Amino acid sequence: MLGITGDLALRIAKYYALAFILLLPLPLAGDYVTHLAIMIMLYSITAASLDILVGYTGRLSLGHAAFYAIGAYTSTLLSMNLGVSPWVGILAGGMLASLFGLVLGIPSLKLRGPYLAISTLGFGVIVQLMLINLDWLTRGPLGIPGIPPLPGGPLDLRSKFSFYYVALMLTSVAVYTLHMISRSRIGKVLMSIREDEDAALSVGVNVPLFKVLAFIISTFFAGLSGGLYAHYIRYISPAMSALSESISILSMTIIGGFGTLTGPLMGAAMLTILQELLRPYLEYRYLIYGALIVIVMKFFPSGIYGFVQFLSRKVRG
Amino acid sequence: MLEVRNVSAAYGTALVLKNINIRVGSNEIVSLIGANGAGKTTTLRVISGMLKPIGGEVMLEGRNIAGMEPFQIASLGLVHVPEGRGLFPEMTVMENLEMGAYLRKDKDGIRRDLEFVYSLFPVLKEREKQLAGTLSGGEQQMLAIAKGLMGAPKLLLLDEPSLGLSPVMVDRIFDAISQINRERGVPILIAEQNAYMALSASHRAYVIENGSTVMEGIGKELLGNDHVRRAYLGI
Repeated sequence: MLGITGDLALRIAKYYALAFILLLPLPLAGDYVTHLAIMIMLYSITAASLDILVGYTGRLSLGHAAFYAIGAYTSTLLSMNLGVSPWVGILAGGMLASLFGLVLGIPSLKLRGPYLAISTLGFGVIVQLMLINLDWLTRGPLGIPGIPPLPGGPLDLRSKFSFYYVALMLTSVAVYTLHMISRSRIGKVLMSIREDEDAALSVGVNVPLFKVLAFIISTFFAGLSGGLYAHYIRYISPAMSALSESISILSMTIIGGFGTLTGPLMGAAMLTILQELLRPYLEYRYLIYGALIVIVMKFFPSGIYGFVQFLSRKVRG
Repeated sequence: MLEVRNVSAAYGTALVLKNINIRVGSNEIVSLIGANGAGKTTTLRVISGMLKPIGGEVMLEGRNIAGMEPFQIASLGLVHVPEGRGLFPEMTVMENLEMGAYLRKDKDGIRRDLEFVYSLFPVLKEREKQLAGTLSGGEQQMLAIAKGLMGAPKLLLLDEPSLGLSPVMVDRIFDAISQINRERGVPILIAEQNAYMALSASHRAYVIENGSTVMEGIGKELLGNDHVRRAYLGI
Protein backbone atom coordinates (compact mmCIF):
# COMPACT_ATOMS: atom_id res chain seq x y z
CA MET A 1 0.00 0.00 0.00
CA LEU A 2 2.83 2.36 0.81
CA GLY A 3 4.61 1.41 -2.36
CA ILE A 4 7.76 0.16 -0.63
CA THR A 5 8.96 -3.24 -1.69
CA GLY A 6 9.83 -5.64 1.12
CA ASP A 7 13.20 -5.80 -0.53
CA LEU A 8 13.93 -2.11 0.01
CA ALA A 9 12.58 -2.17 3.57
CA LEU A 10 14.89 -5.08 4.35
CA ARG A 11 17.92 -3.49 2.73
CA ILE A 12 17.51 -0.30 4.77
CA ALA A 13 16.76 -2.35 7.90
CA LYS A 14 20.12 -4.07 7.47
CA TYR A 15 21.95 -0.73 7.68
CA TYR A 16 20.05 0.14 10.82
CA ALA A 17 20.79 -3.26 12.36
CA LEU A 18 24.48 -2.83 11.55
CA ALA A 19 24.58 0.67 13.09
CA PHE A 20 22.68 -0.65 16.10
CA ILE A 21 25.21 -3.42 16.71
CA LEU A 22 28.19 -1.11 16.21
CA LEU A 23 26.76 1.32 18.76
CA LEU A 24 26.09 -1.33 21.41
CA PRO A 25 29.48 -1.13 23.20
CA LEU A 26 29.58 2.69 23.26
CA PRO A 27 28.60 3.20 26.95
CA LEU A 28 31.86 1.46 27.90
CA ALA A 29 33.53 4.77 27.00
CA GLY A 30 32.12 6.33 30.16
CA ASP A 31 29.21 8.48 31.28
CA TYR A 32 30.26 11.65 29.47
CA VAL A 33 30.43 9.99 26.06
CA THR A 34 27.21 8.11 26.77
CA HIS A 35 25.43 11.36 27.61
CA LEU A 36 26.66 12.96 24.40
CA ALA A 37 25.50 9.94 22.41
CA ILE A 38 22.04 10.13 23.98
CA MET A 39 21.77 13.83 23.11
CA ILE A 40 22.86 13.06 19.55
CA MET A 41 20.15 10.42 19.28
CA LEU A 42 17.43 12.75 20.60
CA TYR A 43 18.52 15.46 18.19
CA SER A 44 18.67 12.86 15.40
CA ILE A 45 14.97 12.13 15.75
CA THR A 46 14.15 15.85 15.76
CA ALA A 47 16.43 16.74 12.84
CA ALA A 48 15.20 13.75 10.80
CA SER A 49 11.58 14.70 11.53
CA LEU A 50 12.28 18.25 10.35
CA ASP A 51 13.74 16.78 7.16
CA ILE A 52 10.31 15.41 6.21
CA LEU A 53 9.04 18.98 6.25
CA VAL A 54 12.04 20.93 4.95
CA GLY A 55 13.91 18.40 2.84
CA TYR A 56 11.11 16.34 1.35
CA THR A 57 8.20 18.76 1.17
CA GLY A 58 10.25 21.94 0.75
CA ARG A 59 8.45 23.74 3.58
CA LEU A 60 10.93 25.80 5.58
CA SER A 61 10.21 25.83 9.32
CA LEU A 62 11.92 28.08 11.84
CA GLY A 63 9.78 26.90 14.72
CA HIS A 64 10.43 23.20 14.98
CA ALA A 65 11.73 23.42 18.55
CA ALA A 66 8.23 24.49 19.62
CA PHE A 67 6.91 21.02 18.84
CA TYR A 68 9.81 19.47 20.71
CA ALA A 69 8.87 21.67 23.69
CA ILE A 70 5.17 20.82 23.39
CA GLY A 71 6.04 17.12 23.52
CA ALA A 72 8.28 17.66 26.55
CA TYR A 73 5.75 19.75 28.52
CA THR A 74 2.83 17.47 27.68
CA SER A 75 4.57 14.35 28.89
CA THR A 76 5.97 16.11 31.96
CA LEU A 77 2.68 17.63 33.06
CA LEU A 78 0.73 14.44 32.44
CA SER A 79 3.15 12.33 34.44
CA MET A 80 3.64 14.82 37.30
CA ASN A 81 0.08 16.09 37.70
CA LEU A 82 -2.04 13.16 36.65
CA GLY A 83 0.30 10.29 37.39
CA VAL A 84 0.23 9.09 33.81
CA SER A 85 3.04 6.70 32.93
CA PRO A 86 5.81 8.62 31.13
CA TRP A 87 5.66 6.05 28.32
CA VAL A 88 2.06 7.02 27.65
CA GLY A 89 2.95 10.65 28.28
CA ILE A 90 5.61 10.63 25.57
CA LEU A 91 3.13 9.21 23.07
CA ALA A 92 0.55 11.80 24.12
CA GLY A 93 3.22 14.48 23.71
CA GLY A 94 3.83 13.35 20.15
CA MET A 95 0.12 13.40 19.45
CA LEU A 96 -0.45 16.84 20.94
CA ALA A 97 2.57 18.17 19.02
CA SER A 98 1.10 16.86 15.77
CA LEU A 99 -2.28 18.39 16.67
CA PHE A 100 -0.47 21.74 16.93
CA GLY A 101 1.27 20.81 13.67
CA LEU A 102 -2.16 20.49 12.10
CA VAL A 103 -3.23 23.82 13.61
CA LEU A 104 -0.14 25.54 12.18
CA GLY A 105 -0.18 23.55 8.93
CA ILE A 106 -3.66 24.51 7.76
CA PRO A 107 -3.41 28.32 7.87
CA SER A 108 0.09 28.25 6.38
CA LEU A 109 -0.97 26.19 3.34
CA LYS A 110 -0.77 29.11 0.94
CA LEU A 111 2.42 30.53 2.38
CA ARG A 112 5.71 29.90 0.65
CA GLY A 113 9.39 30.59 1.27
CA PRO A 114 10.12 33.49 3.62
CA TYR A 115 6.44 33.96 4.54
CA LEU A 116 6.18 30.41 5.80
CA ALA A 117 9.49 30.82 7.62
CA ILE A 118 8.16 33.91 9.41
CA SER A 119 4.88 32.28 10.40
CA THR A 120 6.63 29.20 11.83
CA LEU A 121 9.11 31.48 13.59
CA GLY A 122 6.17 33.38 15.09
CA PHE A 123 4.60 30.11 16.21
CA GLY A 124 7.80 29.16 18.05
CA VAL A 125 7.85 32.51 19.83
CA ILE A 126 4.18 32.23 20.79
CA VAL A 127 4.72 28.78 22.29
CA GLN A 128 7.70 30.05 24.25
CA LEU A 129 5.70 33.04 25.56
CA MET A 130 2.84 30.77 26.56
CA LEU A 131 5.17 28.45 28.43
CA ILE A 132 6.55 31.49 30.26
CA ASN A 133 3.21 33.14 31.02
CA LEU A 134 0.97 30.18 31.84
CA ASP A 135 2.94 29.93 35.06
CA TRP A 136 0.15 28.25 37.05
CA LEU A 137 0.65 25.29 34.72
CA THR A 138 4.25 25.47 33.62
CA ARG A 139 5.95 27.33 36.52
CA GLY A 140 6.88 29.94 33.92
CA PRO A 141 10.53 30.79 33.31
CA LEU A 142 11.64 28.69 36.31
CA GLY A 143 10.96 25.54 34.33
CA ILE A 144 9.99 22.21 35.83
CA PRO A 145 12.54 20.18 37.80
CA GLY A 146 12.17 16.73 39.29
CA ILE A 147 10.51 15.08 36.33
CA PRO A 148 10.10 11.34 36.91
CA PRO A 149 12.45 9.10 34.95
CA LEU A 150 11.15 6.55 32.48
CA PRO A 151 9.96 3.45 34.31
CA GLY A 152 12.10 0.57 33.11
CA GLY A 153 10.93 -2.39 35.19
CA PRO A 154 14.10 -4.00 36.53
CA LEU A 155 16.26 -1.37 34.80
CA ASP A 156 16.97 1.92 36.49
CA LEU A 157 16.57 4.38 33.65
CA ARG A 158 18.04 7.19 35.72
CA SER A 159 21.42 5.75 34.86
CA LYS A 160 22.89 6.93 31.59
CA PHE A 161 24.04 3.40 30.90
CA SER A 162 20.55 1.88 30.80
CA PHE A 163 18.88 4.94 29.28
CA TYR A 164 21.35 4.74 26.44
CA TYR A 165 19.98 1.37 25.32
CA VAL A 166 16.37 2.50 25.57
CA ALA A 167 17.23 5.61 23.54
CA LEU A 168 19.16 3.54 21.01
CA MET A 169 16.21 1.25 20.49
CA LEU A 170 13.61 4.02 20.28
CA THR A 171 15.78 6.18 18.02
CA SER A 172 16.37 3.27 15.66
CA VAL A 173 12.65 2.56 15.44
CA ALA A 174 11.67 6.24 15.06
CA VAL A 175 14.32 7.09 12.48
CA TYR A 176 13.71 3.86 10.58
CA THR A 177 10.01 4.70 10.44
CA LEU A 178 10.82 8.18 9.11
CA HIS A 179 13.19 6.61 6.62
CA MET A 180 10.48 4.25 5.38
CA ILE A 181 8.02 7.14 5.09
CA SER A 182 10.56 9.10 3.06
CA ARG A 183 11.04 6.19 0.66
CA SER A 184 7.35 5.33 0.44
CA ARG A 185 4.74 6.62 -1.94
CA ILE A 186 3.99 9.37 0.58
CA GLY A 187 7.65 10.43 0.44
CA LYS A 188 7.56 10.56 -3.37
CA VAL A 189 4.40 12.65 -3.28
CA LEU A 190 5.94 15.08 -0.76
CA MET A 191 9.02 15.38 -3.01
CA SER A 192 6.82 16.14 -5.99
CA ILE A 193 5.28 19.03 -4.03
CA ARG A 194 8.76 20.31 -3.21
CA GLU A 195 9.79 20.07 -6.86
CA ASP A 196 6.79 21.76 -8.44
CA GLU A 197 3.46 22.31 -6.73
CA ASP A 198 1.56 22.99 -9.94
CA ALA A 199 2.95 19.85 -11.56
CA ALA A 200 1.97 17.82 -8.51
CA LEU A 201 -1.55 19.25 -8.73
CA SER A 202 -1.73 18.44 -12.40
CA VAL A 203 -1.06 14.74 -11.86
CA GLY A 204 -3.87 14.75 -9.32
CA VAL A 205 -2.03 15.11 -6.00
CA ASN A 206 -4.20 16.63 -3.28
CA VAL A 207 -1.43 19.10 -2.46
CA PRO A 208 -3.08 20.82 0.55
CA LEU A 209 -3.78 17.46 2.20
CA PHE A 210 -0.21 16.24 1.81
CA LYS A 211 1.29 19.54 2.97
CA VAL A 212 -0.70 19.23 6.18
CA LEU A 213 0.21 15.54 6.44
CA ALA A 214 3.90 16.50 6.25
CA PHE A 215 3.36 18.86 9.20
CA ILE A 216 1.56 16.16 11.17
CA ILE A 217 4.20 13.47 10.61
CA SER A 218 7.10 15.81 11.21
CA THR A 219 5.74 17.37 14.40
CA PHE A 220 4.67 14.00 15.83
CA PHE A 221 8.25 12.76 15.89
CA ALA A 222 9.56 16.11 17.18
CA GLY A 223 7.07 15.80 20.05
CA LEU A 224 8.20 12.26 20.81
CA SER A 225 11.83 13.25 21.06
CA GLY A 226 10.88 16.21 23.28
CA GLY A 227 9.13 13.83 25.68
CA LEU A 228 12.13 11.51 25.76
CA TYR A 229 14.36 14.48 26.49
CA ALA A 230 12.16 15.59 29.40
CA HIS A 231 12.32 12.19 31.11
CA TYR A 232 16.03 11.91 30.47
CA ILE A 233 17.28 15.33 31.60
CA ARG A 234 14.36 15.54 34.06
CA TYR A 235 14.27 19.31 33.88
CA ILE A 236 12.57 21.42 31.22
CA SER A 237 12.15 25.14 30.65
CA PRO A 238 10.56 27.48 28.09
CA ALA A 239 14.01 27.94 26.53
CA MET A 240 13.35 24.64 24.74
CA SER A 241 11.08 26.52 22.34
CA ALA A 242 13.57 29.34 21.73
CA LEU A 243 14.34 30.47 18.21
CA SER A 244 17.97 29.51 18.78
CA GLU A 245 16.91 25.89 19.40
CA SER A 246 14.89 25.84 16.18
CA ILE A 247 17.87 27.22 14.32
CA SER A 248 20.14 24.57 15.84
CA ILE A 249 17.81 21.82 14.64
CA LEU A 250 17.46 23.39 11.21
CA SER A 251 21.26 23.72 10.99
CA MET A 252 21.61 20.00 11.72
CA THR A 253 19.17 19.17 8.95
CA ILE A 254 20.75 21.50 6.42
CA ILE A 255 24.42 20.91 7.23
CA GLY A 256 23.83 17.16 7.35
CA GLY A 257 22.09 17.24 3.99
CA PHE A 258 18.37 17.82 3.73
CA GLY A 259 16.14 15.57 1.70
CA THR A 260 18.33 12.56 2.45
CA LEU A 261 17.14 11.62 5.94
CA THR A 262 20.54 10.06 6.67
CA GLY A 263 22.16 13.49 6.42
CA PRO A 264 20.32 15.04 9.38
CA LEU A 265 21.57 12.18 11.58
CA MET A 266 25.11 13.11 10.59
CA GLY A 267 24.28 16.78 11.16
CA ALA A 268 22.92 16.04 14.62
CA ALA A 269 26.10 14.17 15.54
CA MET A 270 28.41 16.79 14.09
CA LEU A 271 26.76 19.84 15.63
CA THR A 272 26.25 18.23 19.03
CA ILE A 273 29.93 17.33 19.19
CA LEU A 274 30.92 20.72 17.82
CA GLN A 275 28.85 22.41 20.49
CA GLU A 276 30.76 20.45 23.14
CA LEU A 277 34.11 21.40 21.67
CA LEU A 278 33.04 25.04 21.47
CA ARG A 279 31.80 25.17 25.04
CA PRO A 280 34.38 27.84 26.07
CA TYR A 281 33.19 30.02 23.16
CA LEU A 282 29.50 29.27 23.40
CA GLU A 283 28.41 32.80 22.47
CA TYR A 284 30.00 32.40 19.06
CA ARG A 285 28.10 29.19 18.34
CA TYR A 286 25.56 30.65 15.90
CA LEU A 287 28.26 32.60 14.12
CA ILE A 288 29.97 29.30 13.43
CA TYR A 289 26.72 27.54 12.45
CA GLY A 290 25.96 30.37 10.04
CA ALA A 291 29.38 30.17 8.46
CA LEU A 292 29.09 26.39 8.22
CA ILE A 293 25.71 26.61 6.51
CA VAL A 294 27.09 29.08 3.96
CA ILE A 295 30.13 26.91 3.27
CA VAL A 296 28.10 23.71 3.01
CA MET A 297 25.47 25.30 0.75
CA LYS A 298 28.16 26.77 -1.48
CA PHE A 299 30.30 23.68 -1.93
CA PHE A 300 28.04 20.78 -0.98
CA PRO A 301 24.38 21.67 -1.33
CA SER A 302 23.56 18.10 -0.34
CA GLY A 303 25.41 18.52 2.94
CA ILE A 304 27.79 16.22 4.78
CA TYR A 305 25.86 13.26 3.40
CA GLY A 306 26.46 14.47 -0.14
CA PHE A 307 30.13 15.00 0.69
CA VAL A 308 30.45 11.46 2.04
CA GLN A 309 28.76 10.07 -1.07
CA PHE A 310 31.11 12.12 -3.24
CA LEU A 311 34.14 10.74 -1.36
CA SER A 312 32.95 7.15 -1.56
CA ARG A 313 32.43 7.51 -5.31
CA LYS A 314 35.99 8.91 -5.59
CA VAL A 315 37.42 6.00 -3.62
CA ARG A 316 35.60 3.46 -5.75
CA GLY A 317 36.98 5.26 -8.80
CA MET B 1 -15.31 15.83 -25.21
CA LEU B 2 -14.42 19.37 -24.17
CA GLU B 3 -16.43 22.49 -24.73
CA VAL B 4 -15.29 25.89 -23.51
CA ARG B 5 -18.11 28.42 -23.67
CA ASN B 6 -17.67 32.19 -23.36
CA VAL B 7 -14.94 31.88 -20.78
CA SER B 8 -13.40 34.98 -19.29
CA ALA B 9 -10.58 35.15 -16.77
CA ALA B 10 -8.46 37.75 -15.06
CA TYR B 11 -5.17 38.06 -13.23
CA GLY B 12 -6.08 40.43 -10.42
CA THR B 13 -7.94 43.24 -12.13
CA ALA B 14 -6.43 42.65 -15.56
CA LEU B 15 -8.91 40.89 -17.81
CA VAL B 16 -6.88 38.48 -19.93
CA LEU B 17 -9.55 36.23 -21.44
CA LYS B 18 -12.73 37.82 -22.73
CA ASN B 19 -14.59 35.48 -24.92
CA ILE B 20 -13.05 32.09 -25.38
CA ASN B 21 -15.00 29.39 -27.23
CA ILE B 22 -13.34 26.09 -27.99
CA ARG B 23 -14.55 22.62 -28.76
CA VAL B 24 -12.45 19.47 -28.84
CA GLY B 25 -14.12 16.36 -30.20
CA SER B 26 -13.12 12.87 -29.21
CA ASN B 27 -10.15 11.69 -31.26
CA GLU B 28 -9.22 15.19 -32.43
CA ILE B 29 -6.00 17.18 -32.32
CA VAL B 30 -6.93 20.82 -31.90
CA SER B 31 -4.48 23.68 -31.62
CA LEU B 32 -4.64 27.20 -30.29
CA ILE B 33 -2.39 29.59 -32.12
CA GLY B 34 -1.71 33.20 -31.37
CA ALA B 35 0.95 35.70 -30.44
CA ASN B 36 2.84 35.83 -27.18
CA GLY B 37 0.45 37.08 -24.49
CA ALA B 38 -2.70 36.43 -26.52
CA GLY B 39 -4.06 34.13 -23.82
CA LYS B 40 -3.19 30.60 -24.99
CA THR B 41 -1.51 29.51 -21.79
CA THR B 42 -4.16 31.16 -19.66
CA THR B 43 -6.86 29.30 -21.58
CA LEU B 44 -5.20 25.97 -20.79
CA ARG B 45 -4.75 27.00 -17.15
CA VAL B 46 -8.44 27.77 -16.87
CA ILE B 47 -9.39 24.42 -18.42
CA SER B 48 -7.22 22.46 -15.99
CA GLY B 49 -8.35 24.50 -13.00
CA MET B 50 -5.04 26.22 -12.22
CA LEU B 51 -6.87 29.52 -12.69
CA LYS B 52 -10.52 30.00 -11.81
CA PRO B 53 -12.53 31.67 -14.60
CA ILE B 54 -14.70 34.69 -13.72
CA GLY B 55 -17.33 33.72 -16.25
CA GLY B 56 -18.35 31.05 -18.74
CA GLU B 57 -18.42 27.29 -18.65
CA VAL B 58 -15.85 24.55 -19.15
CA MET B 59 -17.72 21.36 -20.03
CA LEU B 60 -15.78 18.10 -19.86
CA GLU B 61 -17.87 15.18 -21.10
CA GLY B 62 -21.01 17.17 -20.43
CA ARG B 63 -20.02 18.22 -16.92
CA ASN B 64 -19.15 21.78 -15.93
CA ILE B 65 -15.69 21.69 -14.35
CA ALA B 66 -15.16 25.46 -14.11
CA GLY B 67 -14.14 26.34 -10.56
CA MET B 68 -13.11 22.83 -9.53
CA GLU B 69 -9.73 22.21 -7.88
CA PRO B 70 -6.91 21.16 -10.27
CA PHE B 71 -6.41 17.76 -8.61
CA GLN B 72 -10.13 17.02 -8.93
CA ILE B 73 -10.06 17.90 -12.61
CA ALA B 74 -6.99 15.69 -13.05
CA SER B 75 -8.93 12.82 -11.48
CA LEU B 76 -11.52 13.18 -14.26
CA GLY B 77 -8.82 12.28 -16.78
CA LEU B 78 -7.76 15.70 -17.94
CA VAL B 79 -3.97 15.89 -18.04
CA HIS B 80 -2.20 19.22 -18.47
CA VAL B 81 1.46 19.31 -19.52
CA PRO B 82 2.26 22.92 -18.61
CA GLU B 83 4.64 25.36 -20.22
CA GLY B 84 8.04 24.72 -18.66
CA ARG B 85 7.05 21.06 -18.76
CA GLY B 86 6.02 20.47 -15.16
CA LEU B 87 8.65 17.89 -14.39
CA PHE B 88 10.09 17.03 -10.99
CA PRO B 89 13.76 17.83 -11.75
CA GLU B 90 15.33 16.24 -8.66
CA MET B 91 13.45 12.98 -9.16
CA THR B 92 14.43 10.25 -11.61
CA VAL B 93 12.84 9.68 -15.00
CA MET B 94 11.14 6.59 -13.61
CA GLU B 95 9.83 8.44 -10.55
CA ASN B 96 8.43 11.16 -12.81
CA LEU B 97 6.60 8.52 -14.85
CA GLU B 98 5.31 6.89 -11.66
CA MET B 99 4.02 10.25 -10.45
CA GLY B 100 2.29 10.67 -13.80
CA ALA B 101 0.30 7.53 -12.99
CA TYR B 102 -0.38 8.82 -9.46
CA LEU B 103 -4.15 8.45 -9.56
CA ARG B 104 -4.24 5.04 -11.19
CA LYS B 105 -4.73 1.71 -9.49
CA ASP B 106 -4.66 -0.61 -12.54
CA LYS B 107 -1.15 -2.08 -12.36
CA ASP B 108 -1.45 -3.90 -15.70
CA GLY B 109 -2.61 -0.78 -17.47
CA ILE B 110 0.25 1.22 -15.98
CA ARG B 111 2.75 -1.39 -17.18
CA ARG B 112 1.26 -1.38 -20.67
CA ASP B 113 1.39 2.41 -20.82
CA LEU B 114 4.98 2.37 -19.62
CA GLU B 115 5.85 0.05 -22.50
CA PHE B 116 3.99 2.34 -24.88
CA VAL B 117 5.83 5.51 -23.79
CA TYR B 118 9.15 3.65 -23.94
CA SER B 119 8.38 2.53 -27.49
CA LEU B 120 7.42 6.12 -28.32
CA PHE B 121 10.56 7.59 -26.72
CA PRO B 122 13.19 4.83 -26.37
CA VAL B 123 15.72 7.33 -24.97
CA LEU B 124 13.64 7.58 -21.78
CA LYS B 125 14.20 3.90 -21.06
CA GLU B 126 17.97 4.42 -21.36
CA ARG B 127 17.73 7.36 -18.96
CA GLU B 128 15.32 5.63 -16.54
CA LYS B 129 17.47 6.18 -13.43
CA GLN B 130 18.75 9.64 -14.36
CA LEU B 131 17.40 12.78 -12.64
CA ALA B 132 14.88 14.53 -14.87
CA GLY B 133 16.71 17.85 -14.45
CA THR B 134 19.81 16.43 -16.13
CA LEU B 135 18.04 15.57 -19.40
CA SER B 136 18.39 17.70 -22.53
CA GLY B 137 15.54 20.04 -23.46
CA GLY B 138 14.14 17.65 -26.05
CA GLU B 139 14.34 14.68 -23.70
CA GLN B 140 12.61 16.72 -21.00
CA GLN B 141 9.77 17.50 -23.39
CA MET B 142 9.52 13.80 -24.24
CA LEU B 143 9.41 12.98 -20.54
CA ALA B 144 6.76 15.65 -19.97
CA ILE B 145 4.52 14.12 -22.64
CA ALA B 146 5.28 10.59 -21.45
CA LYS B 147 4.45 11.58 -17.87
CA GLY B 148 1.17 13.02 -19.14
CA LEU B 149 0.38 9.79 -20.96
CA MET B 150 1.03 7.75 -17.83
CA GLY B 151 -2.05 9.41 -16.38
CA ALA B 152 -4.18 7.58 -18.99
CA PRO B 153 -5.62 10.90 -20.17
CA LYS B 154 -9.07 11.20 -21.66
CA LEU B 155 -7.91 14.60 -22.86
CA LEU B 156 -4.33 15.84 -23.06
CA LEU B 157 -3.43 19.54 -22.91
CA LEU B 158 0.03 20.46 -24.19
CA ASP B 159 1.40 23.95 -23.63
CA GLU B 160 4.11 25.01 -26.10
CA PRO B 161 5.59 21.57 -26.75
CA SER B 162 8.05 23.07 -29.26
CA LEU B 163 9.41 25.74 -26.91
CA GLY B 164 13.20 25.95 -26.95
CA LEU B 165 13.70 22.87 -29.12
CA SER B 166 15.73 22.43 -32.28
CA PRO B 167 13.75 22.04 -35.54
CA VAL B 168 14.65 18.34 -35.72
CA MET B 169 13.40 17.80 -32.20
CA VAL B 170 10.22 19.78 -32.89
CA ASP B 171 9.49 17.41 -35.79
CA ARG B 172 10.01 14.39 -33.57
CA ILE B 173 7.77 15.75 -30.83
CA PHE B 174 4.95 16.52 -33.28
CA ASP B 175 5.35 13.08 -34.88
CA ALA B 176 4.92 11.58 -31.43
CA ILE B 177 1.85 13.74 -30.77
CA SER B 178 0.24 12.48 -33.98
CA GLN B 179 1.16 8.91 -33.11
CA ILE B 180 -0.38 9.22 -29.62
CA ASN B 181 -3.59 10.51 -31.15
CA ARG B 182 -3.65 7.83 -33.86
CA GLU B 183 -2.73 4.81 -31.77
CA ARG B 184 -4.34 5.72 -28.48
CA GLY B 185 -7.24 7.78 -29.72
CA VAL B 186 -6.43 10.48 -27.16
CA PRO B 187 -7.86 13.90 -28.00
CA ILE B 188 -5.18 16.58 -27.68
CA LEU B 189 -5.40 20.34 -27.26
CA ILE B 190 -2.14 22.15 -28.05
CA ALA B 191 -1.28 25.77 -27.36
CA GLU B 192 1.54 26.62 -29.71
CA GLN B 193 3.40 29.65 -31.01
CA ASN B 194 4.91 27.66 -33.83
CA ALA B 195 1.80 28.10 -35.96
CA TYR B 196 3.10 26.20 -38.94
CA MET B 197 3.84 23.02 -36.99
CA ALA B 198 0.64 23.28 -34.99
CA LEU B 199 -1.60 23.80 -38.01
CA SER B 200 0.08 21.02 -39.98
CA ALA B 201 -0.36 18.53 -37.17
CA SER B 202 -3.92 19.43 -36.10
CA HIS B 203 -7.31 18.52 -37.38
CA ARG B 204 -8.76 21.86 -36.36
CA ALA B 205 -7.41 25.07 -34.88
CA TYR B 206 -8.45 28.30 -33.21
CA VAL B 207 -6.76 31.66 -33.50
CA ILE B 208 -6.62 33.62 -30.24
CA GLU B 209 -6.08 37.38 -30.30
CA ASN B 210 -6.26 39.64 -27.25
CA GLY B 211 -7.94 37.04 -25.12
CA SER B 212 -10.68 36.03 -27.55
CA THR B 213 -11.05 33.24 -30.08
CA VAL B 214 -11.33 35.16 -33.35
CA MET B 215 -11.14 32.42 -35.95
CA GLU B 216 -11.74 28.72 -36.22
CA GLY B 217 -11.05 26.25 -38.98
CA ILE B 218 -9.54 23.07 -40.32
CA GLY B 219 -5.79 23.10 -39.62
CA LYS B 220 -4.72 22.77 -43.25
CA GLU B 221 -7.23 25.40 -44.39
CA LEU B 222 -6.03 27.98 -41.87
CA LEU B 223 -2.55 27.45 -43.27
CA GLY B 224 -3.89 28.97 -46.51
CA ASN B 225 -5.84 31.79 -44.85
CA ASP B 226 -4.48 35.25 -45.70
CA HIS B 227 -4.80 36.72 -42.21
CA VAL B 228 -3.15 33.69 -40.58
CA ARG B 229 -0.39 33.66 -43.17
CA ARG B 230 0.42 37.33 -42.64
CA ALA B 231 0.09 37.42 -38.85
CA TYR B 232 1.48 34.06 -37.77
CA LEU B 233 3.39 32.46 -40.59
CA GLY B 234 5.28 35.54 -41.71
CA ILE B 235 4.49 34.91 -45.37
